[in-house]
Amino acid sequence: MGKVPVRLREVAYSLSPNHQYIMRGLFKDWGYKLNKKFHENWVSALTLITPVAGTYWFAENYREKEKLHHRY
Amino acid sequence: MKGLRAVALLGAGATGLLGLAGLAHADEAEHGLSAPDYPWPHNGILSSYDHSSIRRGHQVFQQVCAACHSASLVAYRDLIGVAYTEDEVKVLASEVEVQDGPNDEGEMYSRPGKPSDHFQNPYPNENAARFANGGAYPPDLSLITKARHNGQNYVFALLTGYRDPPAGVSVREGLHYNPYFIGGAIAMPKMLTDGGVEYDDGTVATESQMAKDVVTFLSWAAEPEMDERKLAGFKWILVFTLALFSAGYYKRWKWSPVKSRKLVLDVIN
Amino acid sequence: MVRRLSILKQPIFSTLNNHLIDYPTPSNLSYWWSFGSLAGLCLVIQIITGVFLAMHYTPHVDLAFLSVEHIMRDVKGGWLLRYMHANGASMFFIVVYLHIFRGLYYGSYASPRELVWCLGVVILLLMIVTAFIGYGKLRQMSFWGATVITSLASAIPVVGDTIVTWLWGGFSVDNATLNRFFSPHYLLPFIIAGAAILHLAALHQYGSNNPLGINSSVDKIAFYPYFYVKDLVGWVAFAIFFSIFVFYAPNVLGHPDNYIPANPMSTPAHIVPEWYFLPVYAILRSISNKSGGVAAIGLVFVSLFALPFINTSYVRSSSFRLIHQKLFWLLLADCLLLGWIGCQPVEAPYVTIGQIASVGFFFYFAITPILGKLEARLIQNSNVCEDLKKKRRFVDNQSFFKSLIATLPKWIHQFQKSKHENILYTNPDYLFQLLWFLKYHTNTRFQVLIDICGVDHPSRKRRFEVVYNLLRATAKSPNKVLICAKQMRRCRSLQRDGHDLSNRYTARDTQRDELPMENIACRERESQGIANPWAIPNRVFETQLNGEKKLFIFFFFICEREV
Repeated sequence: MGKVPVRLREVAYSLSPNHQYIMRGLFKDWGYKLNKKFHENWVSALTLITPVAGTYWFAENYREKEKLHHRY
Repeated sequence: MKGLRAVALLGAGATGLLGLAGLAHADEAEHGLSAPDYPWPHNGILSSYDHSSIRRGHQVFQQVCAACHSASLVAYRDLIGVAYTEDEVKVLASEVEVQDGPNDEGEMYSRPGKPSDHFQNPYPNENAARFANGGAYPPDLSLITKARHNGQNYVFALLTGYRDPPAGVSVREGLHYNPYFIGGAIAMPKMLTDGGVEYDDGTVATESQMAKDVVTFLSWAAEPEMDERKLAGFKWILVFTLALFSAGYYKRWKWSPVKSRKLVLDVIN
Repeated sequence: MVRRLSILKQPIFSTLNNHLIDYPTPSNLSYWWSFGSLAGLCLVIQIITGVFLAMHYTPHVDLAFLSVEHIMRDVKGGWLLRYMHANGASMFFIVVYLHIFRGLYYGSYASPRELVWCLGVVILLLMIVTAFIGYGKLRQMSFWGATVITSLASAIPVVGDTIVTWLWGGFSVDNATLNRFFSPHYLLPFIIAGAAILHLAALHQYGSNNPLGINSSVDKIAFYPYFYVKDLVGWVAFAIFFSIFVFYAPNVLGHPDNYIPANPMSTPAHIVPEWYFLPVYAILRSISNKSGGVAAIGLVFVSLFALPFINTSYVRSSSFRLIHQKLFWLLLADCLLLGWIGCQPVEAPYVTIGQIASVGFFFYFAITPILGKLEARLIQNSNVCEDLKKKRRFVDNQSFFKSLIATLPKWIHQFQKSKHENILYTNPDYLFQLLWFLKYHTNTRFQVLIDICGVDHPSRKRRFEVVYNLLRATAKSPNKVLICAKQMRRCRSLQRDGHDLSNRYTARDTQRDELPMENIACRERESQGIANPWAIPNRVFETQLNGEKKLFIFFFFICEREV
């Protein structure tokens, strides 16, 4: 929609691995990264866990009540 | 997304399991009472069998169990270097009669056993076994600890679990009450009693000692490769863990120019 | 002079190079993309261990169980082969299930990769058949499991019972069954390998998807070395996971009953298949009717095949599809529940839970066609991205310009709307910025400069108005913006700015467009005394409008065609 193709040039500047820290980036700001992962995903995790755990709990509870009901 | 999945699963799973811990499982008569977890000496990551226990267990097996149960997958030579020396095994094997043949005259004959022979069946076939045991078939014990859920603990609990049936429960003639057996009534009577076997190495033969030794023997019979397997496992997991660190570093080393690159896009005039 | 022959450019090697070495891959793939090559590794492990196992296995009813125990006890390293093969099958399914769920989450099945997905489902089917017939027949659980599942074939109308007898090679699972299962079990993995190569070929037609789900052709990197080393990390991690099972818990994924030789006289209390079949088994058992159950299993695979074709979403990745993201996790929860139900006895409440879970599973596929459209409508309503909008509701709307003015209070100091046109008044100081904004900004995109027109109001103090007539070329209706910049002094630069924006550097007459000035009566007259030395007037009109005398000077007509 109305896009005019324009010729672009991309220049990529990179640095040799021997001149930079390799593992540092993994652990830098790990607190912030973990926090971000938690805040972005806790709803998804809950959506996954709650039906499974809830249904399992419900079924076990049902069986338990059934067992106790058969006893005096 | 990926990072949290594991953490969330673990965390929520743990809390869920704690909540469920209080609930008992289905009826015990249907599945048999759950066996407790005994602290077997060979349970650890780097723990091998107690081989003197295997030797004692073989003694118990030979003197108590072999009368009715077969263990036809185990050969006498398997015991060499595990519980007995080669000479001892030759003596052990020669004490049994093995059917062999046909000879040059076309007849089957008996001969003393050799280390290459397997443990002999006490009965010629299943029908004979059932007939001699009131219709019940004493199962082959070569794989019993793998063929039952929670095998080792189950067999130990079963052997030591004979007791009087609780009030109101009756077992028919010929069966014995054992809560660990499915259905609660087992055809095998209580076989282990204090002092039933005299051990070669002088260990006091209490009921639980004999049960422990025979279960260790049966575990070995089912999984003779366990020692070698755990050693190989420890070695390979250690090697792969080191390799994981190396591979991880190598990956990040190769990727660092890509991950730290700066792209400048501009229009060509 | 020795010519250097590059081996990678020679016939067969060039194909390998184009697909395995210099193959362009999106730079932002995460570790979830390592499961594909990992599945290939699992297949290789299964084939190698299987071939070595077959050297020692005897596929005869009287000897099969004993030959496996012979492998475990007497063959050197036989226990390792057997445990690797058995647990390797479980690993293969874990890896493939994770691979499939990755595809569901990131929309890798969507157009144009439908063929990749369908070939993948074919591979899954082949794997299921291979695993089932390789499970052995002469152990308690496998014997009864085989009996149950093969007798499902009797659900086929008319020929069902004949097919079952043919499968069994007799009237029950026996020696004939073992042999006629063992042979295809050896063959099918090679068919799987062929299907896997087709799967890769189909993938390489359009390239891999990426976690953002957008076109990644702007930033691709070579497959070698980047994804070799990344996949290597995945492979080593997998090796650790695999080793824990093979060496420390080799029987935890199996069933103890399989260490009992098969007994046709004694049925196990609960017949359960291997864990990777449990979800499908649960769906099968949810329907009491046998044919219904078989049809339900068929429906599972039909749904999987149909998924790329019933998908209506413009957006691939669930990162940007907030409803689908929740539905995905619910689907995964549902599959886990189905798996758990599959190993429970057929009693309350497991039966009801299984039925609800089965419905839930199909619900996900049923809602897929509606979901894409629903999400598009929600995005539309929130004015997030104009490419997703079907109706450009605020294009001709005064509210658009109101928001425009609110965005740029400094540059626009007056706004007027007439029938087809919206008129923005600006100051010459900000003319260039405003024109640049209107041309390039995503929401405005007034890329066509139709016309520059100067108006001389002799009676006013600030005499001159320069009107830029801009056209926004959209699918539905063009929308014009006229910019009036006052003050005579800056007219020259205004004209130059207009040139710059429209990429024209030469003044020449071009096609004259019709201008919407129906309300102006005009007649031609020679230009008189207007100071515009930089331009060649084309035509000059004098008009009277509202009692005020105006002279319209058309410099020249600049028309830019949309490409």
